[in-house]
Amino acid sequence: MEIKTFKKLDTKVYEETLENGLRIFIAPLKRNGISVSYTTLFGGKDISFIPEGSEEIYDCPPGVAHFLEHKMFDRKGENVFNFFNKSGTYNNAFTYKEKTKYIFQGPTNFEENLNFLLDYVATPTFTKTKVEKEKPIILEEARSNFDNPINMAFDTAMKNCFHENPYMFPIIGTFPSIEAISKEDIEMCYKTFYNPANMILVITGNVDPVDTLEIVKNNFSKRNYSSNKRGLKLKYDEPDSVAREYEEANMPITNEVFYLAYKINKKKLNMDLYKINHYLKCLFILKLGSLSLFNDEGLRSGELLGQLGSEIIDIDDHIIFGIYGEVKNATETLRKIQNELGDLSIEESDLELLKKSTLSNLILMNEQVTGTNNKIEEDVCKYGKVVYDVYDIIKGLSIKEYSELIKNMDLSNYTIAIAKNKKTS
Amino acid sequence: MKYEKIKRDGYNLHLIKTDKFRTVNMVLNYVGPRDKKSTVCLELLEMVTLYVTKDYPNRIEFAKACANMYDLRMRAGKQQWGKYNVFNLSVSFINEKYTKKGMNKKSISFALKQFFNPLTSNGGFDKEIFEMTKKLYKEELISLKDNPELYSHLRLKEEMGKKDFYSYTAAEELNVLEKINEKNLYSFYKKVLKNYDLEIFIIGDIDKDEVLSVLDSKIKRKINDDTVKDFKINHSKIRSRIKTVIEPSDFSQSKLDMGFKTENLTPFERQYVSYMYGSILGGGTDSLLFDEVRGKRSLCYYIYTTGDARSNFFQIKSGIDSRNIKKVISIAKKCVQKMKDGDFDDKLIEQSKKCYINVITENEDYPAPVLADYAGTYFFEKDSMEIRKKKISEVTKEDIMNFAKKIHLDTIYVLRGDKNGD
Repeated sequence: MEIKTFKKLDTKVYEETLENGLRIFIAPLKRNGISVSYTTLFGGKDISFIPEGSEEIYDCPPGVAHFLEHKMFDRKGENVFNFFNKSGTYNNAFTYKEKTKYIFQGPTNFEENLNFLLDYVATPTFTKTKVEKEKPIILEEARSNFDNPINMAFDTAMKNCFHENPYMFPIIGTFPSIEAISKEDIEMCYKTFYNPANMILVITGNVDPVDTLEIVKNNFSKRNYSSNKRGLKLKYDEPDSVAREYEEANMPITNEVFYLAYKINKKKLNMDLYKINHYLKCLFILKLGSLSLFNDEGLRSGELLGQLGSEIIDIDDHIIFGIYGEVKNATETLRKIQNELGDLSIEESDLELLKKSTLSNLILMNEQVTGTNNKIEEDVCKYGKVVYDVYDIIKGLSIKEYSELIKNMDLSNYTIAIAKNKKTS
Repeated sequence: MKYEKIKRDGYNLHLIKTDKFRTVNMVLNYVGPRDKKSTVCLELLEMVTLYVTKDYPNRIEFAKACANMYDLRMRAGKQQWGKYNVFNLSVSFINEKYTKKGMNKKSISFALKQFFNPLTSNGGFDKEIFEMTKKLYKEELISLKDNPELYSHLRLKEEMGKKDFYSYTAAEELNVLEKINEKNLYSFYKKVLKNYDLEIFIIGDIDKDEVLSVLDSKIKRKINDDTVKDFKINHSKIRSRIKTVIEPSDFSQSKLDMGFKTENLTPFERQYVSYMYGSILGGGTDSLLFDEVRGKRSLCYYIYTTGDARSNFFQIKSGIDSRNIKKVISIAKKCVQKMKDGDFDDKLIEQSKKCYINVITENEDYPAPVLADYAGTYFFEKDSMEIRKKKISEVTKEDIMNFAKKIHLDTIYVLRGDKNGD
């Protein structure tokens, strides 16, 4: 095991890669709780791929990864929920666009729980009956998603942002695509992507790293993985332009919710993704967020109904810089936002201030069992590794580098989605 | 963790001293009677008090000053504890051991100064900030329906008893709101600071005398009534015929909210048995409702119970297809009956107990829930975390069945989704 340390933050991480390719990260923390996440790099966007040993593309209906996540809870023998409930342990699973993650959290019964997690993810049983039985449940979940205006705005923006990349589909799928998912699709996805070589295991909290690694190794010793190759994900030749620049979604709501997605070519930025993320966060806070005149004036005038939100999404050759919020009049607010982003320059003193507050919060890392688990897991999924020198990276952010970044940043490709009541407007 | 209550003129300090956390968290709880007017006023104070202050009339300068103090965070908030309203002023900051010597005292002092010196003019709150807040709150009330899950919950409470403490009627709040201006709100704020009972909780590795010296210098009140309060809401009547309300909507999913009232609960039932009942009926994936409605029949994605024993209020919540409304209600009623009959697996009792203990154990990892727990122990005469972990094991199946007889279905509210979803 290799021992790594988050520099200056006295949090140690024990790293190991098993022969079958599984990457393991264990961070012992002096807390009561234990948090475990087991993640496959397979999510909502992966609907077409070349299965291992095949030469043909296999196409699935959108929503297959999420459907598969639901069906992972079916198995011969003990029901997954029942097993964790017996010890009062919280367990759940989440599907994202680029990954699916299975978790449990609880202070007791760790060894049994960990073994069970590895077991159930390794041995699901899919049947046609159970797949059919799940459809009404997922359709109900989809209904409640589609009734949520911010989800609706996001889904619409993503649909219009891309020409080729299946990132354009909602994670949950669409009503017809959910209906169309078959047991065969689910099996094929499972076989292709639920392979240790395509997965990571992160354990944080009240654990001993050596004992924990033993448990994992023993568990895998009873399984044979014929190879550690992964199925092949397709590469998409995604242009810089968006597929559609504007769309309104009709919803029975009083106010308006918008999602503005800038599609930016990553290569042209010529900078480490980790840094891009931080600089864009600063940009948002200072131009449109909590430290901006835009926010203060918008609230005072009644245009904004709360602070805007933002996110940075990394998709192959592009990043999406997303800005969203609930407002009185989306068209008017969007005009002002774009006006505000006409000048991307910021003050050096403001950047230094944001660095200071970010750095001071970093020292809380070794108190946060689930937070630290998420951080490690997200780092590995996004950057392929844990970013241990986060402290130094943030300390090293500079106005000069920021200026380089914005000089290369092209905000001319974007799409706008607005959820609003078309009946009343 | 060492707990100490220190009685001072005008307030009590509850110090939870521990080196387990790198932060210091402090909450000032002002406790006063709950009525519609004070509820609306407190809602406004949440934003008016700390959006800007006398020292920092500019919002951005204020936010920057906080960021510069190693990201010190302050908040004004409102809580409803049964028959009482609570105004919270809270601050959290990183312990000076990890920032700069002298910052503990400086941070507390800074926070108190901002708490007690909002921006005012002509004997009222700053008019522009007040109008902004009022407008935002008004928008929130008008657009409640945009969030169908919250809306159906509030409508249920409204239908259960328009005169009840917990009844929330947007129209009524709007009426109250119209009568509030920057001047009478400021008088209300001053009244809260002067007359509401004040209990201050602080958790972290911090020196008692240092804290007391800052508090004493900033808190100028002489009297504090710290006699034990009865927070419980008792219902004047329990409905004998169940009330059903169905409201149409243009959403695609229907929201089902079933409201219950409880009566004559013993302290043991309120603290322990009500949790067990809710957990077995609809607490998680092993509950009766989850199993019957989702597991066996695929009729929903979520169904769960929630409630507040202090308000003698309990509810079942779910999102369903409008074609299945009757069916789900009927199954839910059967599950409620099963609780009365004791027709559930004993293993559910054991599992719920373990879950209860685990949640407490994990909460001990974080300062905010520990502080809230000490406050609960003090205000509501709740058992301490250690005692609760032991006492939960005393709950028997008979206790749960007895509790089931004291809970009565009162109102069924459905926000029907009429939009054709597929």
